[in-house]
Amino acid sequence: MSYQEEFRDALSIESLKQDLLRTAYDNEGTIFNRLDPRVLLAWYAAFLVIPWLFYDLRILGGLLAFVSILAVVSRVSKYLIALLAFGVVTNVLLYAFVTVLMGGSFVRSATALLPYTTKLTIVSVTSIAVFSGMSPKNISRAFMSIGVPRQFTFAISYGYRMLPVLIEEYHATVTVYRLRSRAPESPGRFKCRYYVYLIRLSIKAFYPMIFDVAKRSRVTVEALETRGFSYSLESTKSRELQLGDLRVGWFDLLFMGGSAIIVASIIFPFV
Amino acid sequence: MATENTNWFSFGQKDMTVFIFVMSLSGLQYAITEVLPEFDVGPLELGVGDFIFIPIVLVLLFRTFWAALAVPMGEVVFEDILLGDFNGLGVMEDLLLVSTCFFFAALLFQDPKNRRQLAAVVLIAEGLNEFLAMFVDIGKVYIGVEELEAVPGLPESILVLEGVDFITQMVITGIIFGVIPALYLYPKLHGKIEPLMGMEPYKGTRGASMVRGFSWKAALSVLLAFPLAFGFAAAEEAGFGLNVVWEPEFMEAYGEMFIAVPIVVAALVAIVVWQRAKHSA
Repeated sequence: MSYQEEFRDALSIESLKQDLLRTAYDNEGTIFNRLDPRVLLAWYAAFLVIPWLFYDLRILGGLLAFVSILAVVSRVSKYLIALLAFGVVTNVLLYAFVTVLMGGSFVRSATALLPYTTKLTIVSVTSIAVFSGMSPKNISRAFMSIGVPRQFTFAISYGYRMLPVLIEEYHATVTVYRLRSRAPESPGRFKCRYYVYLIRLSIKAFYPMIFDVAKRSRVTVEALETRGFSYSLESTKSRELQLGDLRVGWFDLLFMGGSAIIVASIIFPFV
Repeated sequence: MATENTNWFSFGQKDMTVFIFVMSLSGLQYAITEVLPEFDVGPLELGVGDFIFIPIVLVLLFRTFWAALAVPMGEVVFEDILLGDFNGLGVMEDLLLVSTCFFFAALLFQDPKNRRQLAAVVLIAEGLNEFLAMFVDIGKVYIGVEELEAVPGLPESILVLEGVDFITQMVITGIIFGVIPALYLYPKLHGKIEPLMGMEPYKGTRGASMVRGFSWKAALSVLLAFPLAFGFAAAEEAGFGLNVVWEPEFMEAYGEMFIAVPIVVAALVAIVVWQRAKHSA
């Protein structure tokens, strides 16, 4: 297969769809999902802070390696990681390049930016690992436990159930539009006419989607109300029920202790 | 204005329906555009950014604060949490900026039949949001990069790139994926989708000018949202401002033991979150 075809295959809607759904759903059995969500949230909060405390690239590199291993273990989407990496690299290069145009030095601006972008990358990789490694039920419970309103934690579990349905439906609608319309006769330079045609279709496909989603939202709310959703928002009993079976076990303590030791051993040699 | 009589945080059944509706669609839009081949060349976003016409048209149709809030929620839930691109406190930036800017623009929209007004309002919603976000971005780099002024040319290059990004965003997201599809979609949906959700379509006033919808309260809320959003974004970027203190001199002054400080800080943050989680459970 030629390079171009391979690239197109990797970017085909079908494979993107699968990649997306895997990111959102394939989180059974990852370490992050076995942890108590509250413990994980506390761990995540600590990890949002740690990278900002250092400027030493060796420490930051070590931290990045650590969270990257966690990301690999929690099987994050390669596509999202590739997008992230591309963004980070071009970020540094572009700023440095424009700095040269402004009369500065390429190397100096790149070295000034490098710690900053490394920190951003550490935070992003940690986020991808934690949130795609956690099941939405646990994410909702974690947020609920720090007092985020129930309407929002509900939105997470709703989105989780709806995302595949919506993407599937959207894809089907785009396909129907493609069947019923005619692709441009000649693809134009750089296939630009073809892409314009696809973009127009993807915009038009939203029109029938809007009506379907409207109907579905109404049915959802009615179903929620018959189950007493508004009532349960006020009731503390329902909260207790939802958060009742959270327990901190040996595995949580091991994870916290283990990461504390690893982080300390990354930091100490260089200070 | 339906939202001004009632408490903003009282959440009726209709609000819930609209909230779920707008959240699902704008979330779908964010999820799709997230994976479409777009090229983030550094801070510059080229190619398909967001299908911003979906959220803006829906907010203009329903005109409630909850509809506006559902837009960033869709982004947070579908793009950030489910696809794992969650960036902590930076989410607060989106929640505050996007919802207030969109709501503000919806209030300005007075005459649903006037297409020029529709185009202007879409541009205002996107422009205001991008403009404020640009300042947040610039501020973030200023806080995040150590001794930025010491590197000649770098501060200027940040300003230039953010400026160029603002312009490309306005053309691509604002006009190509904003105004043009909105002009096609809004008239098609107006009066059709609201009854489906059990609501009255917004009639507006024929020939009314946008100035009528301008409320100081809404303008003030946009102005308030900006510093708040900046605060949250900067807090996230800077680790609560701690790295400003973290200069090498401290190492000499307090010796090696100072390294314990960041670790203690990280531990403290973890403990505070944990206590809060345990307490409310």
